[in-house]
Order: sequence, then structure tokens, then C-alpha cells
Amino acid sequence: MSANDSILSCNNLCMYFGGVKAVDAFSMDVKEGVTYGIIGPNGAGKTTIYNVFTRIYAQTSGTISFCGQCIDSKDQVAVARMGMSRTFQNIRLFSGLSVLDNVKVALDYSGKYTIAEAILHLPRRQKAEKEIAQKAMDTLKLLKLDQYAYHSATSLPYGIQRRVEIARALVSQPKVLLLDEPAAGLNPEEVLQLVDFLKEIKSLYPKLALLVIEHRMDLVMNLCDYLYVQNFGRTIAQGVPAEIQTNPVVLSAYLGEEE
Amino acid sequence: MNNYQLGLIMNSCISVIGVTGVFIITSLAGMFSLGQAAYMAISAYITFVVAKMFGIPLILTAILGLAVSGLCAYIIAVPTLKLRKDYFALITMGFGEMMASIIVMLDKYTNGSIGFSRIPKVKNVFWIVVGLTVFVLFFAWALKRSRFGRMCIALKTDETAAKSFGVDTYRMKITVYVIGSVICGLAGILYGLKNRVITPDGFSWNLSAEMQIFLFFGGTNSLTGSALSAFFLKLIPETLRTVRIFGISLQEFRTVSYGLMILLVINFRPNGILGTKEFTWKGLVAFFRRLFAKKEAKK
Repeated sequence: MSANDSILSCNNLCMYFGGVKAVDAFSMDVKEGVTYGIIGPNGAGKTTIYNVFTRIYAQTSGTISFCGQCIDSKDQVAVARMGMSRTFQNIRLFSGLSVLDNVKVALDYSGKYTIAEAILHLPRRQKAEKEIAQKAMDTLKLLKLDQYAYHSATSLPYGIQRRVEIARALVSQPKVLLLDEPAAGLNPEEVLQLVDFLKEIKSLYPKLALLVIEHRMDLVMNLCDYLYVQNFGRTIAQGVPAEIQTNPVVLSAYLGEEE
Repeated sequence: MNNYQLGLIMNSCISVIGVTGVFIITSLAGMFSLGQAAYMAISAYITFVVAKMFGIPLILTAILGLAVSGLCAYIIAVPTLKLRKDYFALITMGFGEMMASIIVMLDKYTNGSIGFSRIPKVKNVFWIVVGLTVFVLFFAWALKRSRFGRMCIALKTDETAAKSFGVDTYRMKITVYVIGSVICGLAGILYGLKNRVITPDGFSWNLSAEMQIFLFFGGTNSLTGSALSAFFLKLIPETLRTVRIFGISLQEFRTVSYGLMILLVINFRPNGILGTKEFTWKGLVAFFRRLFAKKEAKK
């Protein structure tokens, strides 16, 4: 692997909230088609890393580059439009919209008609709307969610909502997809389905770089190619899953020190 | 129909236009504006005062009035929409009050609190009002069903999530606020055309609040619901003017009954009568079918 094909990388990323070092000197290199896992106990700063990547927070120090560009001064919207997509730990679907409309929202910024054409209901609007609907429906079909297309998004079972959220994040063909605890709140059976679902996504989108934050070791070991282990904001270990599983530092962070 | 009845319908239509403007701002984009009457005042005063001063045709000054409304909305929105939602409500309310005072202050041109009454008579006002109401409702409907409508609803529910899907929430909100304010401005001009007198009191904060009440009564996210409620809630108090209880006209109880209504709606249907549903003939037929099906089942 050469340094050239990395899509997203960060160097010595720090995010402090007052005296709290939520992320401390975090470095990462993301290449296309590879699945990364960020694991660690609660409060290890995993979600903060995502929030800095997606520019919800501006980092205290360090640099991030995405698609060969430095994104330190870019905002959330710009980075999203460059092809960084994410899901949230607590599902954040848009409650007033149907499943299909939720997915459409992710395409809407690129819609090819102006607000005047929208108000006057001109033909170009119809054509563009058809395209958007078609793309959204294709993604739902690909992910076998089309049967729910016209349901109200927030009335679906939790496991399905998770998938809709992932579909919404995937529809704009992002380069990087950040999944924030996709298995949170799911029962064991749903977790197994989710692993299959994510594996399917990996085969459907071979170029997509996938980042997963997770607590559950089984899910991470099954899915990820490379792992970063965080504790109190610091990276305590990184490597392929087999290495991490036997790493004494990781075991002590997860299970406590042996007396 | 006699002139009085036509006047009532015009009043209701103007109320529908105003509420549609508020609908776009509050229901679509989730901005709680308490000063929309100010834009009605700006448009109305500019249209009629400038037309009188320079002898320009009303149609041109109306366009000017709407443009100034839009401009004011833009100037208000750019700094305010960076703040939290509650500050936005406060500032719009303050802006509404400010506008009313400015009109009184400029009494040389506006005739102050006595009201500006040199408004020319226009033919076919009724059809102008009804026609524009239909147009405005169509515009709002088209807007709601477009990508902009979807993005608005998305940013209303969850701004952070909307941003992370590339929705430029700040610009979107400014655009929507300007459009909604221009529509309110149109309502103001029509109000002037119909009544042929405009006073600062007519565009006070009562009117802004009234429009919000109509909107919430009809349904927090239902265009048809809020339009219907704007039409009928405006009409009903007028028709009850002659009904008297204990020698007091029922119209005197208008404000009290608005309060009561809001209490009842918030308690029993927190999303308004129609909630997020739109009123359609298909839906109505389905509703009655279900109703009859239930009755049949009971038998």
C-alpha cells in the first residue's frame, strides 16, 4: 500500500474540551476499499474523532486531509459534499419524512433545479425529481429496503431504521462512510443481520472506505481489516484484528489489569 | 352575494395568504417568527405611499413593496439565523414592534397612527385576491413537494444531520425566510387594496400572533390544514358578530376564544387538527369509508 491511495488521513489530531483531552494525538490513514474499526471503552473519544472528521467540531490541533485536500478550514456541508458520509449513534432519521424522502434528502443538495423552478413547478423540476427518486429507489432496492419506501421512517423497527440510515448515507456514493456504533440498541439477532448487511455493502461498493466505531468485539473482528484501539483519547494499539485480540495492552484496557 | 359577504371572503383569503407565508417559514423550516405582520406593513405602506407620492401605477409600486419586504427579511435573517431559535423569535417580534413605531414616526408620509387612506380604488379586487390566493397556495404546495421542501423538513427535524448530508442549512433558512416574508408582504398589499385604509395598529403583533395561531390550529406541517383553518377561523368570528350573549357581541370574545382554542388543540392534538397530513379528496373518501365500515361492523 502506498501513501498515494489514501483518501482520508489525519496527523496528530487533538481535540480538547477545556481540560478534557477527548482526542489526543490521533493519527490515521484510510485507504479505499478497506474497513477500519475504532474500538475502545465509553468516553474514549471515538465519536469525537468522527465529529472532527465531519467538521462538527474544529480540532484543537493537527491536520486532516480528505481526497488530497486539507479540510481543516472546511465546514460540515463542504466536507459532506466532497463525499464523506456518516450515520449517528442515536439514529437521526428525519421524522417528518418517509423512508424514500429520507434517502432523497442526501441527494437533494445536488438536485438540478432552482427554487424558482420548484415554486413554478416547471418541467425541469419534474425531470430532476424523477432522477432523484430513481436513484433513491435504486439504492433502497440494492439494500433490499424498497418494501419500506413509503413508510414513515421513525415508525419502523429499530434494526430497519439503522439500515435506512445507512442507505441514506450511501445513496450519494460517498468515498468514506463513517458508521457510529451501528449495533447500538440492537438485539443479538439483529446484530448478526447487521454484520451480513455490512458485508453485503462491502461487496456492493468495493471502493468504499468504511470506518466503524464499535464496542462489540465479535462484530469488529468479523468485519474490519484494521483496528485502532482508543482509551482516554489515546491510541493504545493498532493492527489487524488477530493481533489486537492477543495484545496485552488492549486486554488490560478492556478487562482490567491482572493482579 | 352582496359586498359584505364578498368582503368577508376576501378577508379570509388574505388571511390564507399571510398564513401560507408563515407556513413556509415556521412549518417547513422550523423558524418561529413572531413578526410577520411587519412585512405586511412594509409592503402595504411602500406600495400605497410611493404610488401616491410619485403617481406611479400600483402594480409597479407593489413590486417595489414586495422587493423591499424581501430585502428587509434578508437583512434581518443574515445575522439572526446564526443565533439559536428562541433568539430568532424574539428578534422578529422586536422587528415587528419596531416597524409599527417607524410608521408612526414617519407620519409626514404615512399619516401616522390615524392611518393612510388615500388608496385608489381598483376594479375586480375580489378576483385579484382570490386568484392570488390560489397562486400562492400552489407555489407553497410546489415548494413543499420539491427538493427544497424536503431539505427544509430535514433541517427542521435535525439540523446537524441535515448538514452532514450536504444541506446548506443557513442559506436554506435565509431563502425560505425571504420567500415567506414576500408572501406575507403580498397579503399586506391585498389587505390595503381591500380595506382602502391601512393603519399601524392593523399590522401590530396581534396579527403576527393570530397567523401563528391559525397555523398551529390547522396542523403544524399541513399546508391544506393551515390554509383551511386560516380561512374559517377568520370567517367565523365575523359571522358571529351579530350573535349576542348577555348583550355583548360574540366577536368581543374573539381573543378569549383563540386562547381557549389553542389550549384545547395543544392538549388534545399537539400537532394541530390535521397534524402532518395533507387534506386530499382521496383521503376524505377513505376517511368516510372507514367511518362507515366501523358503523357497519358495530351493527
